Amino acid sequence: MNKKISALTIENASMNKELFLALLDNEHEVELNFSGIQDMDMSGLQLLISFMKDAEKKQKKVVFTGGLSVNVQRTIELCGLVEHSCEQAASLAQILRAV
Amino acid sequence: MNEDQFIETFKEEALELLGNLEAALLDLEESPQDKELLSAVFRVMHTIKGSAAMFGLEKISGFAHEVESILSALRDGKITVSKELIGHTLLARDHILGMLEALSGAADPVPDSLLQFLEEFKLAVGFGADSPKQVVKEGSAADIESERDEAPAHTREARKNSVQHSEKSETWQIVFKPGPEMFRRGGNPLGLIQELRSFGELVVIPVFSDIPPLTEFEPEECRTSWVLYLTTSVSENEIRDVFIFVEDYSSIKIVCLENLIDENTPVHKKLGEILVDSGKLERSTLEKYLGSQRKIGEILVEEKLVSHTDLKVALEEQKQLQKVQKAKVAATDMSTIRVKSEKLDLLMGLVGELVTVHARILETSKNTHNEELISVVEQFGRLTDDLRSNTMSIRMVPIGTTFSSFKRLVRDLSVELGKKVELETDGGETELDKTVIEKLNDPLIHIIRNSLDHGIEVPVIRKERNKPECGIIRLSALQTGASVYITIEDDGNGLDKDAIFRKAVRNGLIQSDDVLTDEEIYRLIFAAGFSTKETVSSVSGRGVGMDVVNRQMEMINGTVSIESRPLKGSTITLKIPLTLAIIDGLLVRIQGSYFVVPLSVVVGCMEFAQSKQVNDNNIVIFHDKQLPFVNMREFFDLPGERQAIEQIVIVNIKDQHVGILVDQVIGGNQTVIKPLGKLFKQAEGVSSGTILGDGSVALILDVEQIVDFAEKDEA
Repeated sequence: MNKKISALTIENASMNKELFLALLDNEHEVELNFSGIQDMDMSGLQLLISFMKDAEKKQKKVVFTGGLSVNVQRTIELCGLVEHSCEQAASLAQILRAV
Repeated sequence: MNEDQFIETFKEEALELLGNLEAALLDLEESPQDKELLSAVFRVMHTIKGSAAMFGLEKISGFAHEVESILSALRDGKITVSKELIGHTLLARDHILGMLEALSGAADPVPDSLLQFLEEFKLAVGFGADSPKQVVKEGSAADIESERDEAPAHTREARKNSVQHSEKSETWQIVFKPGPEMFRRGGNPLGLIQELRSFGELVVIPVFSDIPPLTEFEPEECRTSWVLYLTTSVSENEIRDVFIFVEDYSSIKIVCLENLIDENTPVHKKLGEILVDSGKLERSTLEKYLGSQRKIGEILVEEKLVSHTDLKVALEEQKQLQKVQKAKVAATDMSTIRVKSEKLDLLMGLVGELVTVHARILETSKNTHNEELISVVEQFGRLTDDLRSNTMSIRMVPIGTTFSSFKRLVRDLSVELGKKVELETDGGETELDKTVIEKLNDPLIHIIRNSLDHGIEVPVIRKERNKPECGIIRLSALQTGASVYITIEDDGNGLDKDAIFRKAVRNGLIQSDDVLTDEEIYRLIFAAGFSTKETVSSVSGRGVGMDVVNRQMEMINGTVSIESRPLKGSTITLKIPLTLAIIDGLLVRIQGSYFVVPLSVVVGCMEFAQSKQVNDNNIVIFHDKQLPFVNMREFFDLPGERQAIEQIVIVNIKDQHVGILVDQVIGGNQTVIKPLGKLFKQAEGVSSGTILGDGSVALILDVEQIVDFAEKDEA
């Protein structure tokens, strides 16, 4: 399954949730490529955290790839998730796992 | 003020700044991420550079300028905090100290030797790869001005902020829990956080623990909450205003951290206490895990008693509380003036005279039987008392600064010896008379050096003994009554009783068949020229040093005691009198002479009738126990006959009760200590003198010496 997400924001939160659920149900390994994700707000970040929690429970492997867009970086910095700049999706995945 | 005086003031200030710098650098080594420490280090260098340039001290300002540019690269994140950086900055500090102490040729440019040091410094920390090389001569006052203008916008902003803070900044804890409908109602929590950030320094900790797994998750609901720490000068109302549009459906708790702190709050509030106080942990659970050797936070998270986020919040609260407390201390420090210590000595001397004169006036006024005069003199006495205690308190300084100066010593020595050692300090706020503290410096250096060299083992051996690789030396101060106890404790070898004994026999200090208690054997290390170390190192082994401890302690009427647990470590305790100038004494009379017994050693008094004395052994029964006593009339060879009824003052010397037989106990006395002069240096049994109300002289008894002599006499 290869789906495209352009933004993790409140406008498409419900749609993204369905998409994530389907991914976890159907795939064994999920790759999230962040290079296409232009924007993310708090609802999007919550969704990601919830998704990671579920994936861990269902023992699915999740990999984040690509670089983080400026807007995504801004959100994770502003909300206090990271103290220093975080530019790579792989490091974000690591941080989210520790949450 | 002429120019020399200006330079003298600069020197004084710079010395203090360099002292702060050392402490800040060592702290920075422990917490390299602390931006405040970073800028504190930077600021010191900046100030020294600026002031030195102002006085035309080109050598110092040029050198400081170069170091400052390296530190500015550090502040801007171009280079990182490393062992090399701390080490070199410490060396640079020492160089500046050296230049300050020898100000000759201070107007010369930076010499080649220092330029070479700077090159090495830059190389070691990886500085200069992409930053343009500065010319040394730039460190002039004009340059500092232009630099300020060129400062990038964000540093200017920071400066503005810091100016704002200095008005009166407080730290607030804000617990912000948005209602689930936040997003749907168009609220944006990040916008609020951003607004708060503009108020000052903000630490943001998000709490994600309420986010359920995906199946139960309602993606349009806000499930995140925040704990924020804001240090700002704006009022609580202004902070509340930020939340004005969300407050009806959100929970917002704002607490000022200053209000959580009072005199009873320990400087380091324990993590466990914070967790219990915030209701995240039961006290009984905490107590169950407290005894463990590991960090309480780690255990609690591992046992799933506390979530990771709760721990993070508690840790931040601990950090912020410490910051607030430090700021409080700094605020009190700020309203100080610098006074030469000789002036204080003079003041103390004058107050001493005043106390003496008051005693005389009181005596004289009583003879006149003029009630009005007596009442005025008594009032005068109360004022004198207040003045005395106030003057004494001025001379009191916290011992903390002395403590922190040893951090550097431990750091450098442990590197030299290939050992890992951490210095922990406790009770740095304990105050002692300034002169006492000055006299303590040398003994403490020797004891710490000794602990490092003989006590703490090298990492390999520590590992074999199941100890953590890093040894600990704990320096603590505690005041009880009129004495301060300073303990130096290490978790190393402990003292080798047999080795000390053998060496002492070889040195001829004792005979091989002497029977000594453990404590007596340990005390041998204080004998001059004593060292069990087979080889002489630069650190210890020469046998000078520990005897300094004894000598200096005698000078300030202090005592030393040693405890040791084989392979577990040793503890040396110094007991020091609070002050040296005025003591509370007990005035006694023998024939026509007056003597003062320091009240701190007096346990009690009793009457003694010679007729009841059983034999010539000088022993009485006190509280059902035999009490040996010293007849002072005999001791000082005073003329006259013994009275039928005499009195015994019972004193406590080294946990032993001994009596001192005198004709009469007169009463309490504010004793101003006067040195006796060289002629009386060899006088046995008296330490110094004092002047009484009627102008006559009384001698202050050296009770410990008297008891020692009496013991020897008997033997």
